[in-house]
Amino acid sequence: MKSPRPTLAGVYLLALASLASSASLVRHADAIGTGRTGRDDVSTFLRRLEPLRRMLPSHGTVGYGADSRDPLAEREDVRRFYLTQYAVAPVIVVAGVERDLVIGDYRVPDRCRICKSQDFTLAADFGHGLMLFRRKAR
Amino acid sequence: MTFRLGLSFLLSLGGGLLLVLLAWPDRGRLGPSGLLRLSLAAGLGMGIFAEVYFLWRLASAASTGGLAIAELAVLLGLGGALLYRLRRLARAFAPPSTPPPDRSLATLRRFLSVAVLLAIVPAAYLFASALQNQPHGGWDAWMSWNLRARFFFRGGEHWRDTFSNLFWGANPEYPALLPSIVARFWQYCASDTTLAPALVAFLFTFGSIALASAASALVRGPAQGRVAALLLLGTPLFIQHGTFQMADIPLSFFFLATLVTLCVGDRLWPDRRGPLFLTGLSAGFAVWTKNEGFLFLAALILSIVAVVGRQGTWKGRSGQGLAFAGGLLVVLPLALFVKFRLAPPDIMLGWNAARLHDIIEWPRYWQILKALGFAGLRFGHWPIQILPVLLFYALLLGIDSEQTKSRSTAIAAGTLGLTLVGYGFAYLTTPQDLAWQLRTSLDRLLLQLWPSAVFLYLLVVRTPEQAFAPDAANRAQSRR
Repeated sequence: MKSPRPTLAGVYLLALASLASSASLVRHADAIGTGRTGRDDVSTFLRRLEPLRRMLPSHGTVGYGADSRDPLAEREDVRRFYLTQYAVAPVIVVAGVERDLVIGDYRVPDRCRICKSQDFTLAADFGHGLMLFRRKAR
Repeated sequence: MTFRLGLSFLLSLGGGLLLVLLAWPDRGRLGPSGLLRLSLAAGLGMGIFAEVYFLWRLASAASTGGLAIAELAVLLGLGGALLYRLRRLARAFAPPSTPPPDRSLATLRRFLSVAVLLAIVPAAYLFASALQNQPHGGWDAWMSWNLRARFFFRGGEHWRDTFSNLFWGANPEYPALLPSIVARFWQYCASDTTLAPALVAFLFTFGSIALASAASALVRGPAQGRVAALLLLGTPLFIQHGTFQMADIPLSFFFLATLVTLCVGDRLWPDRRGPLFLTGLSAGFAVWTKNEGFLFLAALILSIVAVVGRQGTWKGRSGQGLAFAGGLLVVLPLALFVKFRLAPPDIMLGWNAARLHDIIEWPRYWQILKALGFAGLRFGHWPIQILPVLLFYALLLGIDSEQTKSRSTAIAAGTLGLTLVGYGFAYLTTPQDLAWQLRTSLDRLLLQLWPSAVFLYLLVVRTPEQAFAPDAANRAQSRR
């Protein structure tokens, strides 16, 4: 009969390697602690958009303007665009200002092109570059 | 809210258990068999009741009471069928009696048990940390899966807006199982609490681990079951993706459930149809979870046809085929309806003749193979390269030739292999930039197959028990 020792060593080593790998997970984990709940980026962003969400209709489509002309070009802009979509669902957010209601989300308020437009009025300013515009009646 | 969440989970678990008991001809057993049924029930139960939820949504119903009544009706139906079936249930499967383990083997098993318990701690910690620090999940979770669940839950009669191609970037063309599972929990909680997607992610992650472990233990022995759990718990990418709340882990669960029910059923109850019904059901849920499920189903059917071919009698083959098709038909029509009637066209499924020339662009093959080799070597974010380690381990313990001869092993290997080839073909013809597509998705695609690959690997590698008592254990394994 073949000695089981190499097998035994192999199983122990595989188990130890798995255990070490499992322990390495802790390196990837953020600390757990009181006062951390709701402080993550997404929750913070959603809280910022909550007053805006309450002003939107229960469904339909709204436009979206941001610092860059194409809000789907830069990674951070893309992130803010989809977070806005996540926040205001089930309202559908479409990039551009071709809708009657347009959400403006500007990190640098000077870049707000829609603010200078004659076609829209400011319906609400929630601060920190977040605004809601309504198309003027024709 | 937590109470309602727990209650709605228990409802789906109860339904899943009744279904599994109905199809799994083994009663009153704990241990690996019990764990296997419980983990299957958790995943399949969530799937079945997500389907009830989706149909309830399609029927334009609005009251949660109506949903509860529909679900209770399903529970009663399953319970009634089980009562009827109990009278006819076969004797419980009696595992071959084995002599008490040798002292070294007993020590090894104890060591492995302790190692599994220790390995659970970091994984559970990561989930707890994610619940607090990343409650909405990873980017893809909130951008796509949880977003669509919000449309279902918050959308009222306009819930179908979730399939609008106006927000194409959020993948409205994706299958709808995961959003339906989450939205169903929210419906019962009357709140879109982040606890629900976190619970779903936790259940599918640990359900996959429990399922692989229990199935390996049941057909290959206790040590093999513990090694399966350790390999999955020790894969950082698997646990991390679980906490991200993305659909890859539920998909990997349904892939695994498909192969487990096929292989375990074939070994323990080759003349029973119930496990094959669960095989079809699991494959159907895979289709309704992600597009890759279509590929997996095609690979499975091709493998079954190639392996089973003309084996056995026509009557036997048609009976098995009907059981498989029966399970599949519980989900597939709805999945196809959502995919082809409700959802907008899928860029990845749209066949474009212009992409045909990609098939003869040899540099693309090389690019895909290179990426696959590289991803394979550093797979799973293990601190060591796990694939060479597993290769060495297999050389050390040897391959159980009896297991490789089993037709279900061949079907499982064929299914995984063909699915991988299908992934390669999808890369070959992708309309997106190939380098970007490989960089952003290859790890996840391999991860989808990982629990099934671990199960298959441990199915054919000799067990520590066989190494210790080759004659007795080999005879016992061969009988399974």
